[in-house]
Amino acid sequence: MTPAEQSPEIIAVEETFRLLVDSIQDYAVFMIDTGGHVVTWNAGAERLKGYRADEVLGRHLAVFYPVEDQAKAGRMLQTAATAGRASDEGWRVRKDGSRFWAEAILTAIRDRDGRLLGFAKVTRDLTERRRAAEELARTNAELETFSYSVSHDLRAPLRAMNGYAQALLEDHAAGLDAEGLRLLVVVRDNAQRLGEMIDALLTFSRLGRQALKLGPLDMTELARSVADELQHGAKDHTPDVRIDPLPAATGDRTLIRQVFANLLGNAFKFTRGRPAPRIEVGARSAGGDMVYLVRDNGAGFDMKYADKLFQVFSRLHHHDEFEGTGVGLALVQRIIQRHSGRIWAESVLNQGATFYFTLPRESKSA
Amino acid sequence: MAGEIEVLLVEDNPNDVELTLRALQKRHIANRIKVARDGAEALTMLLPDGADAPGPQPKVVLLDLKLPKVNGLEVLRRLKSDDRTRNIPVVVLTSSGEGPDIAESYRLGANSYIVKPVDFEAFSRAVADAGLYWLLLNHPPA
Repeated sequence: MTPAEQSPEIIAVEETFRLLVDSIQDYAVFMIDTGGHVVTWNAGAERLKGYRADEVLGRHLAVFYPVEDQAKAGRMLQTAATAGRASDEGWRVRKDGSRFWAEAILTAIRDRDGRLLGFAKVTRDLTERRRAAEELARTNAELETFSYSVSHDLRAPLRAMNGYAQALLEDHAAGLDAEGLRLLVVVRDNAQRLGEMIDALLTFSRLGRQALKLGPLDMTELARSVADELQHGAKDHTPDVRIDPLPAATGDRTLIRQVFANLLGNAFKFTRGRPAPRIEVGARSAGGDMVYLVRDNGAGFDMKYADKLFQVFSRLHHHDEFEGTGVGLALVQRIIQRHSGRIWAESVLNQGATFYFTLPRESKSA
Repeated sequence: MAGEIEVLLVEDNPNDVELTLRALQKRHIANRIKVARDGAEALTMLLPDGADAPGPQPKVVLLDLKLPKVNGLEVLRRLKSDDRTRNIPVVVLTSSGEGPDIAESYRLGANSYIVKPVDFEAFSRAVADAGLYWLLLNHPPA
């Protein structure tokens, strides 16, 4: 079609479209002829690459690539010509010689008969994002080193404290009176507790970084196997555990098992010594999500402290009453959040607690 | 055999050495325990330079991973790639029961691992893992 054959409406639409493309600031959008030469130029291209239209029209695509990468321009054109589309991420050079990290898509334009007319190229600047990703990778690596250091270096003195206190208890108990022995046991118990807290903290920090392995989960089976383990482990405490049939979910099996281990473990712990201890696991549908719940009739907590429930090292019970590191529920929350789910709790002090969590039917990694 | 080493403990932390020796000796498990204070010392002892003659052949090596000079993983690699020492069971000592070190140790041929501090029960389990029942049987607890 020649311009003479176009109706005024089509011309108006084309003009609107041209103005739209021209005004795009964040993307370089331009046309290239079949030989790889620039034929149109928009505001985004000028901003990204630093050339005005009159400086760049007619020049070959390779001018935007660093010297070592100029062969890439030809390959991109070839791929787009044969496959219809080519995409690439890499360094590009501005007019002033500075570089930016670009994501580019090259699309072949053909007429009705399939003849190649040229290419449309859309490029955006991902330098900031790349810098942020590199920064994140560096931070993660530092964190990894830090965790390693905590796990290995800080444990050595702790191990000595614990070991020597134990040796003193075993070999020199005769030289200590009852109060001396009691004090020594306190020292040893605290050294052991610090070790457990370091372990829990490491698990917590690792969780934030390791990739989720998502798959279908038989939630009934998961809850059942965790509950069975806890029943076998608890000698003198056997609460009545009822597990409803639970709908399946999508998630990381190891991590969701950890969620049940913590929630059910808490339910076992906080029903200890209660009359007729009872634990229920159930589910109900709410909106698009499935809400799972773990309920007990144990010690519960005061709802005015509910905001502290999921904080690291935050505990609502005294250690001599119920043991714990104060990391368990923080861990559970982190796992659920990484599955794009939510967790909350309801309780009446001395009557029991219910923990609810959601798992979207299609979980995504957070 | 005079001078024969039964257990070679490769460990640089003197507290860990003392506590480990105490745990093992308390049960009369090994009367002849020798200690190497770093990786280089362990290698010099087990793989004497330039000689085809074997060095001492302990029944088991307890190997800490974090060592000065030559680290534990390197010691393990060298021991398992030399004909003179490849059959000596190596039990790795680690500060924590997790992390890449354990997987890497097994890949290099470690027979078992123990999380420090080494108590007698952990040692017995590791010895059982490594198939070293006879080391225990030779020295029944008194």
